[in-house]
This record gives sequence, C-alpha cells and structure tokens, in this order.
Amino acid sequence: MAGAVLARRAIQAVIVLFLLVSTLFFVSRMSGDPVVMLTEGAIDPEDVEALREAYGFNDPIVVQYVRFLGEISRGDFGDSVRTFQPARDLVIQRIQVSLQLVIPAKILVIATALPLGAVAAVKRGAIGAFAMIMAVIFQSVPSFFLGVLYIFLFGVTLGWLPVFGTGGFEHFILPVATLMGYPLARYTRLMRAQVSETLTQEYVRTARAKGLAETKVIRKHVMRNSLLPIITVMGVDIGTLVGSAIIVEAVFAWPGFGTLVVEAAKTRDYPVIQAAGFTIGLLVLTGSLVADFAYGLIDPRIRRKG
Amino acid sequence: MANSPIDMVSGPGGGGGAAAIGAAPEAFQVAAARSRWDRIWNHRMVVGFVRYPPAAFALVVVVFFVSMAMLGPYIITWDPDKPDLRSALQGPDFGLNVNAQHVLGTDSVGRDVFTRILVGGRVSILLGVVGATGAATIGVILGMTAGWNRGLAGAVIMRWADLQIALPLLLMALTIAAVFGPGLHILLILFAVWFWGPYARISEGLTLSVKNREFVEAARTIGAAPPRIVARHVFPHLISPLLVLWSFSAAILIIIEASLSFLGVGIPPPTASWGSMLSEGRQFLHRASWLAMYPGLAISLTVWSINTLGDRLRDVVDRRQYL
Repeated sequence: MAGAVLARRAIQAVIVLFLLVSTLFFVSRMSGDPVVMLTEGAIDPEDVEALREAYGFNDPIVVQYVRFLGEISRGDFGDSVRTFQPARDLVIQRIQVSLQLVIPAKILVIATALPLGAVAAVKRGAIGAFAMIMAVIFQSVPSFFLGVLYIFLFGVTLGWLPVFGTGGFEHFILPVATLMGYPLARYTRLMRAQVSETLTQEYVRTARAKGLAETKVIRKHVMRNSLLPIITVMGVDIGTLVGSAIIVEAVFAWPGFGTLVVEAAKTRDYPVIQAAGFTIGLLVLTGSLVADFAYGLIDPRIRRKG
Repeated sequence: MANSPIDMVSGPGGGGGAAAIGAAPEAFQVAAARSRWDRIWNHRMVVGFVRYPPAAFALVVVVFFVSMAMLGPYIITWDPDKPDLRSALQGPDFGLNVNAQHVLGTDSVGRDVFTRILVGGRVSILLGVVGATGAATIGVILGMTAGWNRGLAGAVIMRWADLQIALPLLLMALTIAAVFGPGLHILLILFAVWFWGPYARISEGLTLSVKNREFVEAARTIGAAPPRIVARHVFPHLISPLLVLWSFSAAILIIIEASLSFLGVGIPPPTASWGSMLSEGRQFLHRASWLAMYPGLAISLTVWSINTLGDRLRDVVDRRQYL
C-alpha cells in the first residue's frame, strides 16, 4: 500500500484515539469527584481535601484534562486505586494472560471456519448443511451460556476437564472453545457467502472455459478473491474478540484483561479503566490498519491505486 | 416468483378461471375473493415469514415474548422477586403434575423460574427494542447529515462513529456502570448514544449514493427544500437496510444486556434478568442445572428468532431480487 495512504490512515487513527481518551476522561469525571466516591465518607473531610489537592482535583477541569493528556502521551495512566500498581503495567501484564486464550482461539477459528465456509459454498450437501446448522447454533448462543453449557457437559456431568482457573493444557480447552463459538459462526457464514458470490463472477467462468483444472480454479481464482473482504472484517473484529474475552474470562475465572476490567468497573478504578479503554482502542485501530496493509499485499490493484 | 400474474388469476385450485367464465356477478365475487386471498397468501411477506417454517417459528417466539412483555403484569400470578425459602430449589415439572406450582422449578430462594424468565424477557426486549430504536434515530439523523453535507461536520460525525465502532460497547457499558452504578435507564441511554455508529455508516453511504441521482436533481429543480428532499426522496431508500440492521442490533443489545447482568453490572437485583439468572444458576449446576439452562435457552431462542427474522427480512426486501 502506498505510503501516503498508510500515513493518512495512521493520522486518522491517532485522532480517533485522542477522541477516545478524551471521552473516557470526561465520562469518568461526569459523576463528580473521584476522591469522594473512592473514600465514600470513610475519612475526615480534611483528609479528603488533602487528597484532592494531592491528586490535583481542585484545579479547573481544563487544567486537569491537559495534564491528563500530557501524562498519557508519556504512557502514564496513573496508579490503580485498588492495588497501587501503575495502571499501564497492570493492563500490559493481564493482556498477555488474555492473549494466551485469544490467539489460539483466533488461529483455530481461521483454520476451521474458512475451509468449512468454502467447502459449504463449493459443494453443497452434507458438509454444507452441517456447517450452516453449526453456524446458526453458535450465532444464537451467547458466549456466557456456551461456557456454562461446556462446564455442565464436560466439567460437571462427564468430569473430563477442569472448569476454572489457569494451569496445564487442559485448562485452556474449554475457555478457548467458548471464545471460538461466535467468530466460528460468523466467519463460516461470511466465507460461504463470499465464495458463493465469487463463484458467479465472470473471471471464474473464463478460468473454467480455458480448461483450467477445477482445483486450480478454486485455489487461484476463487479463494484469493474471497479472502479479501474477510481479512478486512477480521481486522475490525479485534474489538469484538476482546469484548467476548471479558465474558469468557468471567465464566472460567481466567485472571486476564477481562477480569481486570470487570474488577476495575466494580471498584471504580478509573486509572485502570482508562488504560484499558486506551489499549482496546489502540488494538482495534492497529487491527484495521494491519488489515488495510494486508489487503494491499494480497491485492495488487489496491497497491497500485494507493 | 410465487405472485406471478397467472397465480393471481387462477389460484391454487385452478378453478378460479372456470368460475369467472360463467359471467354471473356472484361467480365474479368468488373469483375476486379467492384471488385477494391468493394475493395475501402469495405476498412476499407471507411467503417469506409465514410459509417458511423456521421464520414462522421465530415469529411465534418473538410474538410470545413481546406479548408477555406487554401483558405480563396481568397474567403473572407469582411475585417474581419475592423469596419463598420453603419451596427453594424445586425441580421443574413442566406442568405435568396437576398440583404443579412451578413449571420450570424454583431458584435458590424459592422464586418461580418461569415467572422470572417472563419478567426478565420484558427487560431484555424493552432494552433491545427501545435501545435499537433510539440508536437508529440518532444514527440516521447524523449519518444522513454527514452524507448530505460532506464538510467538517460530516467528517467529525463519521470519525465519531468510527470511534464508537472501535470501542466495544461492553467496555463502555462497564465504564458507565463504574461511574453511575448499574441501572435500566443508564443502560437505555448508553445503548442509544453509543450504538448509533453502524446506523450512521449505512445512512451516510446510502445518502451519498442516492443524492446525485436524477430524481433528487428533479426535486431540487422544482424547488423542493433540502429537508424535504432528504425526508421524501432520500430516506425511503434507506428504510429496508435500516430495518435489517435494526433487527440485528436489537439482538446484539439483548446479548449485551444479558452479558452485563451476568457480570453483575447490568440490571441490579432483585429484578429478574436472563443474564443474572444464568449467573446465579451457575453455582447450582451440579444439583439444579435448570436454573442456568432455562434462562440461557430463553436468551438463545430469542436471539436466534430475531436473527432469523432479520435474515429473512433481508432476503425479502432485497431489491436486487426483483430487478
């Protein structure tokens, strides 16, 4: 992809990120003074005043906002009010724990959903019907219920797998399987729709007409062109995946990013919430940038046009 | 297509044409009545939703939960929130027992699970429908504005929509719950003001593609004011894609409400919500699995129904099929 386009996208991403942190800042100040809420009348008014002065809550909101932006640009989100660790370090540390679930789930989804969707489109019949029924089920069952169903089936009834916490390989199976549910349905459907659409294109007829082997037609002409839109969707979908990780971690007591965010929300730990929001925004925007870039790599037309 | 002219004249029995030959006025009325029925029976909405079994079933499910949401207070005899410890953790009897009191059993403090599912559906459907409608209203107005005047305002609106789409609604809901505490009204407002991004994108794109067409030019030439052009000539082109998006976003909002309640930051207890019922039931999986299963089934069934209807709606209203 041409450098100028990439640069423009990157600048837009920075603007969106700026809007995001500003929203998080003002929303978290909307309900009033964080010190009053954090202490909830448990300490002297004098101490509250001292804390306010120390944290700078007595300054005008604009001054606080500018200072907040300055700190964030240096990567400082303040300390967690619960554990007193820097919020940034907490988020980075916990997001690694989450990635242990998210990355295998994403790889397995790509490895199963794309071939399944493609086969469902190319040869209708038993595999196609199975793929579509599976997609309908996984699309309708929300991840928390899917997780509970897995726990009931494999943990409680059959007793094969551990149902919560971290540990060996077997601890990964149920959370990863739960995390895979919705994206599996989504990408199977998307891939099937794409491949069906591509199969009707003129260039596929041309390729067949010139006597190309069917496997070659499918691999070189149909698959390549069908993958393009899917890659874009995958880039944008990173946010959705993080969202479902929040739920899945809660179901399986997985001490990752999602658990951190839920705890932070319940205890009004604003620095952590802001750092988490910023991180998710950054992930999503990077995801769509990378998708744009990958698109350019696969499709030479876009690279040339810029 | 099923509603071809031949179908409409002769009807499924094939006798309509013969009756009309008799030329008696009554015979004509019979033929007319039959063809009107045929028209209804072969209307694409009926073909799409009533004569296609999955969609018909989905319609029944949605109508059931919506009517329960509206009529609930007149039908429900049990107090959904009042504990009755003596009848705690009774198993479901599915109404087979004549003395049955609890069709789907009771929870850990003796509340009727079936009643709570109906009441929980009320909250879910209210949030889904009102939230999606609010978001649609905001998104359509902003998106059409952005599509109509591509200026600074349009750019700001669309970047803001990007931001909303980038940040998962669930995370925003957690932030809001942290700031204001959980509650129904907060969730409703949040869904409306933080879910209009997709609507704005669709409205902007379609407005852009329509605004330079001949009929818009014609309206402008005869002196129609821009608000009138937008409302009368551009907006009708948006209705079918918006309806499809509306149904899918209602399903998403229902899942998000249930997720938030599951995490304990949605609808505050003791009010029933499918998410919080499932979360409570999780602790009793080994001896009272129905506590988790029925609320979970209720959510899945509702989401499946809404998605099925949305899919059907897309197929039925897709203009390309009729061109």
